[in-house]
Amino acid sequence: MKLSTKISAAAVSLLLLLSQIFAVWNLTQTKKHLLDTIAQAESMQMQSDFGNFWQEYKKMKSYFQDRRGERFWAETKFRDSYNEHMVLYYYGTEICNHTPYEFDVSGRKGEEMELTSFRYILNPPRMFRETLNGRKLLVFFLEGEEGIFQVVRYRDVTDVYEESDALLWRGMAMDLVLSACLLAVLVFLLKRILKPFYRLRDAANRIAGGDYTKRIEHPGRDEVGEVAQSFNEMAQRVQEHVQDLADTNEKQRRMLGALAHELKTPLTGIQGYAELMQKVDLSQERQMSALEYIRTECGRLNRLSKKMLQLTELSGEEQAEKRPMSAKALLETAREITQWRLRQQKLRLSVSCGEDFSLDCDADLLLSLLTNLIDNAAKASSPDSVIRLTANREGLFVEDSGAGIPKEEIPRIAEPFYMVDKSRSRRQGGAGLGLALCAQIARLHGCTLQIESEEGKGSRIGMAFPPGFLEQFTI
Amino acid sequence: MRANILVIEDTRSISDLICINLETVGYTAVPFYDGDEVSRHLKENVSYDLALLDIMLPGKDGFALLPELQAKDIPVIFLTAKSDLPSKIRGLKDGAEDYLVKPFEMLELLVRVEKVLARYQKEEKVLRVRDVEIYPSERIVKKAGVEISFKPMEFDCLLLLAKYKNVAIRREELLNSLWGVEFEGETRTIDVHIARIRKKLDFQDVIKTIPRIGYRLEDKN
Repeated sequence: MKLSTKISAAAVSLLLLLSQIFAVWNLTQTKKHLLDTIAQAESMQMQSDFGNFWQEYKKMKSYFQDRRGERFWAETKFRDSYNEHMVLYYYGTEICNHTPYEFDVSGRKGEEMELTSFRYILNPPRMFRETLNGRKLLVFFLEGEEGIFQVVRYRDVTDVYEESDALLWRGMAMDLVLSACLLAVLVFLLKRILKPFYRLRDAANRIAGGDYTKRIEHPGRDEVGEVAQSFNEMAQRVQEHVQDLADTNEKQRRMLGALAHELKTPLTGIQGYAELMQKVDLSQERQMSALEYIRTECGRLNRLSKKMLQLTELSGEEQAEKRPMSAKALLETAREITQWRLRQQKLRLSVSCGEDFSLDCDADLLLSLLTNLIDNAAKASSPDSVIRLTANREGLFVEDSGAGIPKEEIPRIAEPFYMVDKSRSRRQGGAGLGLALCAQIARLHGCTLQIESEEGKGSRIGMAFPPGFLEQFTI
Repeated sequence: MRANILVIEDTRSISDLICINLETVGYTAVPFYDGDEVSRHLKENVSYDLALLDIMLPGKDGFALLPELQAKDIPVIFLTAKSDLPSKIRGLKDGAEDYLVKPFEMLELLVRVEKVLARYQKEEKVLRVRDVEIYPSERIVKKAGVEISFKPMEFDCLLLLAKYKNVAIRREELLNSLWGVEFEGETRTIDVHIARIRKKLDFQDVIKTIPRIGYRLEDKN
């Protein structure tokens, strides 16, 4: 059941119940008061009437010869003087009754009532409530001195009861109408008040359905608005998080695809040459070259797997194991490692490190970064050119004057398996992982891989120190 | 008439592999390693029966070269490492005859080449092995001008070996192309057929048994 329905139903039924209780109580009180007033008036009237009658009787008493005369007088007098609501009894016998009812003088049947107002009346009549011939009656009973006369007077109060009942029913009907109105108003108001909640619910459903961009517009300033604002913030976080995951996922997917693709070329060679040797009677020379191809392709696969391993290991780590190291010594070691290969290509490496400084780093990783960069530079350079290796307060850089990188490719160049010139790169044994590796190493040192390049003029790639990087380590 | 085949593939090892394969069965292979070079070469008055074309190339790529090859009426088979559907569809839609996904098997390469050549009727009508002539469409075998009767299965077997001469064919491959199903353990049937062919044509030293592989019809010249 909806909240608005619940609240409306509860409110309306409570109102109905309370108003009905009040109406019943109110009507009872009114009815009682009304009967009280009537009874008081009636009994006073009765007392005065009977008083007068008794006075007359006392005056006439001496003239009556016997009871018959007395009775006759009383009958006549009573009939002439008193209204038709009264009945006269003479020693318990009814002698004058002009009412449509028969009353029982001896043992009163009806319910005897005590009225509060009787307290102020001297010698009040006894009063009964009786239902006769379907009419509700108040019956008063007075007995004169010496038990000669008894008088009964009645008052029909049916309309008082009927009126009261009618009022109750009318009140109830009115109550129902009002309740219906209240219900309508409540439902309307609650709908309005709860509207932000519905919007919240819809937004949550949309987000659950995968639409992470959904937000609640104009959240408002009340408590619901605050909830909506928190909700929006939550949605924002969720969206960012999901985007992050999707990005990572996409990156990994691309990398896996690239890896599978990289594997295909060496595999085609290995499979093909092996099959060739099996099936075809090759010359000695051709057999040798086929084996050589198989060996080189295996070497390529080996390098690829090594770099992949290194890359996955590095990307799992958060921090490198750092030890202070002289920058100059680092550059010298890098030069020694690459010397042989550079000499083969007739390339010269110039190392410049103005003032030596201490660098807190993982020397093995930084060497791997430098040799990778030098390797890349060598691949891009033409023979007899110079590669410059520099270390200064801004970072460690390798500069060449080779082919350079097209501007639009620079942002993607550090992605795994990304190669600018695929066929050239592969011919030189590259797998497209070098720069991805360098970027990871830079990241582990809290630095970034900085790539500056101009096509045809050369590149300057290196690990750029963030501001304040050296100060923390310089002794 | 030996079919002239352009091999346009930048990876030296793969290119060599394809060329050796093609030359072994008697085609002439002309390798190219760069898209721009092919483009220049096509401007000269040259003619080829077929081109094997890699998609990823330095210079002009495979998709760019395709129209130039078509302009010269050279049917094209794409060589691709991209096994993804869109590039296959694109290649075929643009008018390539077939495609070959790396890594591929030798026989697959040769069959596809042969099929395309047959479609363009650039294949030899008669296969010759020493003094034996095989007429594929008439299904006739002649030795020194005398027709020799062959059962259908034997003829197909001989035709396959002769088509891919100098290349060993696995027993399973033979079974597969003759019966079209993968027979397990029933490779002995092949041995029986081969024995009959050898006997009929006196090919004891021409059809060689390659241990653990299958048979090879040798014809060096």
